[in-house]
Amino acid sequence: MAAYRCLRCAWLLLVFISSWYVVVSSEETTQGHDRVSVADNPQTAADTAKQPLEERRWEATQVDKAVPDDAAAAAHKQDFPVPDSVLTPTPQLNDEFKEELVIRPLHSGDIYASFQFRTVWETDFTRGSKVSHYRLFPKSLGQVISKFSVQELHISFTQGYWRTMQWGQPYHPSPPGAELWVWFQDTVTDVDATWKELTNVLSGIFCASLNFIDSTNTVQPSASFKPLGIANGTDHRFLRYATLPREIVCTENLTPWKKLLPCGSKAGLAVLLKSEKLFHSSFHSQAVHIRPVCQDQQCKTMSLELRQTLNVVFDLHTSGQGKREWSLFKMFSRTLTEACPLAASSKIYIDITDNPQEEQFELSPATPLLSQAVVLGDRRTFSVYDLTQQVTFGTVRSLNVLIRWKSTEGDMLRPLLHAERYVAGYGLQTGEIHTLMYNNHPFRSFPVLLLDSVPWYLRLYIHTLTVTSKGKDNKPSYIHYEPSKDRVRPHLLEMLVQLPPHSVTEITVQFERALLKWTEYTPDPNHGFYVGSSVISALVPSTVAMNTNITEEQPLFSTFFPCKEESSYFVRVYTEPLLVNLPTPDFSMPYNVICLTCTVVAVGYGSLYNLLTRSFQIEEPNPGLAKRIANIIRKMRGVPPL
Amino acid sequence: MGLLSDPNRRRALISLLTRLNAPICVLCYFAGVCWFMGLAFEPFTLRTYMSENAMGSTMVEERFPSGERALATGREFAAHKKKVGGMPVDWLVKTMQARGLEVFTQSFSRTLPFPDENKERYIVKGTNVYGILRAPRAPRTEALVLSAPCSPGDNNNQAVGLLLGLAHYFRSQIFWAKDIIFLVNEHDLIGMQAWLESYHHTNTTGMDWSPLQGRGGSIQAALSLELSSDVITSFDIVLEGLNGQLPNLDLANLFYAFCQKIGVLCTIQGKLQRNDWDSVSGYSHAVQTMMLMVMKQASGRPWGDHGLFLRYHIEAATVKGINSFRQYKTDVTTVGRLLEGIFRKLNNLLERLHQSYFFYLMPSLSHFVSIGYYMPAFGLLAVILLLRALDLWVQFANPPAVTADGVADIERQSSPGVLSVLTPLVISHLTGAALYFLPTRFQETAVEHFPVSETEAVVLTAIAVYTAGLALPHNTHRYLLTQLLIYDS
Repeated sequence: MAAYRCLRCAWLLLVFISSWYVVVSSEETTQGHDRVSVADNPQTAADTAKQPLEERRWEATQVDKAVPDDAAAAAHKQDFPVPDSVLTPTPQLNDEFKEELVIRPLHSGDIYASFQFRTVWETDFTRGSKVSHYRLFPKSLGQVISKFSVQELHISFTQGYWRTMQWGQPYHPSPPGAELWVWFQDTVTDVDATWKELTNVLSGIFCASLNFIDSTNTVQPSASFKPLGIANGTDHRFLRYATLPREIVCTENLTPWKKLLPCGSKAGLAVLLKSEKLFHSSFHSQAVHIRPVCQDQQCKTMSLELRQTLNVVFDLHTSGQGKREWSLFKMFSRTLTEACPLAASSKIYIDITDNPQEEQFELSPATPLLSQAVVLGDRRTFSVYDLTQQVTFGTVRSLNVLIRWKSTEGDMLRPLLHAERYVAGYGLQTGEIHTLMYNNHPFRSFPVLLLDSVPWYLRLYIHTLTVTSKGKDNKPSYIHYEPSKDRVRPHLLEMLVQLPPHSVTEITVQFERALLKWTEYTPDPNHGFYVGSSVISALVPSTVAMNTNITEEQPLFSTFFPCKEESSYFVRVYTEPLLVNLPTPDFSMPYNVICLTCTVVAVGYGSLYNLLTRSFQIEEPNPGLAKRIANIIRKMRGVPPL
Repeated sequence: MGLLSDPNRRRALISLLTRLNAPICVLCYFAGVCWFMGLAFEPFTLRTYMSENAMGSTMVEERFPSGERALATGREFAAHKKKVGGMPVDWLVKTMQARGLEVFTQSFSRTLPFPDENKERYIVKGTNVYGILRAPRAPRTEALVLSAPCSPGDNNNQAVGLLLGLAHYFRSQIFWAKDIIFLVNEHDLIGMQAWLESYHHTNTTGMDWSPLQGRGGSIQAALSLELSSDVITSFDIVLEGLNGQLPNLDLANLFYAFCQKIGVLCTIQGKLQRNDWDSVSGYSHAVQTMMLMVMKQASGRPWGDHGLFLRYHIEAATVKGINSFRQYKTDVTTVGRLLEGIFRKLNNLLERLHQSYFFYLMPSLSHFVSIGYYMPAFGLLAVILLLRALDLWVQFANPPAVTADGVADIERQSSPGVLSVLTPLVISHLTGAALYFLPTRFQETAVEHFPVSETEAVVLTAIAVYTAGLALPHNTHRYLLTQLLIYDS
């Protein structure tokens, strides 16, 4: 065995050396080839010339990482005065990376931090052209998009439930667990097979159980999930939507997510993303959104946008020790020392709308930069810290934004739209799903689209569906219902409901709990079975005019949902998932059943069989002992018995 | 099974059963009673053990520090309760909000069939206050409940104080995986029933309640706390719920395990555990404990606020702090630590409590009798009915040979017709229905026309139905007999 291994090592060595020779010689030939192409295309030449320079810079930074961060940054800036043209993205490659962090102090004393990393790349995967040169855009995702002909991809991993009543609307709504929705290009012939393969690949990339997405939890919503980027057709045959409400999100999902960033977690805002703090929070959500966007007003050129978002809410009582005072260090146990060198812009926004004269909280260090943005139907004011400016870091060369409250009151908010859902009834046979949607607008009614995807093992009685607002029947103007098929596909219910002003709309539907086959139960059947969140998509009336110009320079967080009209804005609200107990057999039952059936068969069937097959005859009186003995003797003698 | 087809042996067996019927019945009866009484004897019972893996092997550390503060809160609550003359709703809402909970209130009212004993009122109105501690990074799918009733007078103030103290302490912990609902319910069972019905959106009792605004998903377990003194000598656990339902045995085991760990005296049915099982007094103590449990279950009423949870398949128990004249006292901090430990273990649950027994009797907290052991005793008692019925049937089929002429014999055989069996059957059912419906139906008319109160009216109607019922079957029997004689002649 050992001898064999030695032999194999030697063989590998030989192969390696020979292949090295081949590579070296081929490199020489390609260089020669390059020289030829320079004449053809001077742009490519410029690119290739810059590549080695960039690589050197990256290497230098990596070496620097061995020494502590601050010193490294200082040393780095003195020793390598790299020209600006290298730091800013090369215009020829047409990709651009921006990062930003929005911090919103919440009424309850909690704090909401939303990270956004956006890479825009002017490229086209659609025309079948092979793209093999990646710079800022992660290659793993690029290959997935081109291989599976993905038009749009949205994936989110969330741990916790967004408390709309206390926190207001999030910048990026997401349901608890994992959510994945994909628009495929219309060139895809077998969408289901592609979807299956795609979920398996994404499962590997994000280290999540997305491979559990199959036909029993995938739906094709007809109206709720429209493409967010530019799209030619909206035929929902090319849309797939699935949620995994049970998915637990933890560090193993965060690490691959961070690796997609151009700077990784080495520089820029991403240094704050330390898992020990991110998962010591009330809410954690990370997402990846890929969509095609327009570069300019006329939409002549299309580019691919990759948006990575991470939202986290820190709790006043557990993370903040009850003190209404937050700083970057307290939140993330890190401070900022530099922007990501590859980023075109790197900013921190702090929402100070409720605090124009610093009567609610104070902010330090103070920043002269202010910015206004229309977001979620409201004009908000933000203090801005530009990380690409050295001034931001001050003399200590580190930025630690501090927010200190002055008052200690926290009330429940009244967001314009919020929803909740619960299971009513008791017992393990039937139940009722109640969905409550609140419209808190004082005088405007608005329509909402409700999407419910219920697993097949809850058999919905769709004839019991009722929609009531203010005690009156509220007839939905559009209902799309696809019944489930056992073990094949879930129920899909989509409704367009008009919510009257200042009202609660209640949607109820009864269901029956199915008895599963005994191998279909999860390992913990008494925990219950999850029903994913219902999705409420709405155009909520806006208090200020929304900005419909998509190409204008805006903070990233305000540009996620495209806005078509000025008077309303798009909101998506997710309800809580449900945990439903199904009738569960006692799993020692097979043994009991075997014992019982065997006994019943033995006793019942045996006696019946006995009665049926026995021939009854009148028994002669028992002969005496003497007669019997005489008979035996006669039998031995061969004489007929007495 | 040759027995059935062999007429000889069958005859032998039947004659044995009919001849020795009375002795066999007496034997079965005594065997059943002895078996049942033997169950309380310690060597014959099993020790309790934790079946649920998620609660058994994991260690938790109890650190609840602020018992004194909880008592101060309790005193404040008492002052506000006295000032308002009932449930201090506003104060509770404010206090719970200050502790960082999501607070909601629920109002309810219930029309009583009879006036209240003390206050002569027909309608009970009240408000429940509950605060939800949202577990960090949990999607509101599971919840635990800690409740304390707001009792009239000076009772239970310490329970509310401790509940608020625990809420404050629990809020600053990160490890919660399930939402925890802190509920202060007014009017004991009525308030609890209103809250539970509203939570599950059912209405089984015809109560009026306002819908709940906040929920925490499916409730996994609940604990109701009753505490009326600053120090306690022992802790009592009450398990018997509505219609004799019991929570999973693991809940009792958990309570016992923590009492052992922390060193608090624990009782069941108000009786301490004794070590002298081999002495007569020790045995009779165990029998008493077990029989009390049987009696309480037989009564069918819930023996604590927890009893109403059981219908909704929520494992629940009431824990009562008892202050008697012992030397050994336990302070509220220790009680808080005990509850914290129980809640942390319940928080660790991956599934609903289902591993252990749902049908059991407890001669002491450390020993239990499972259904497999007490059912044979019941079976022995029930088999007597079967034997008697068999005897009657056999007598019907072959009546004892009559020495008179054959004509009389035939007549006798044909006499027990369907009608004579059916009549008492129908009459007894009708009596039952009358007893169920008439008292409440005639209550109002009776009060209008006669100088009686509602309660008396019900009792009197019931007695009237009974008297009428007693007369009936006797008369019909006689009537039928005469009919038969007329027909014959």
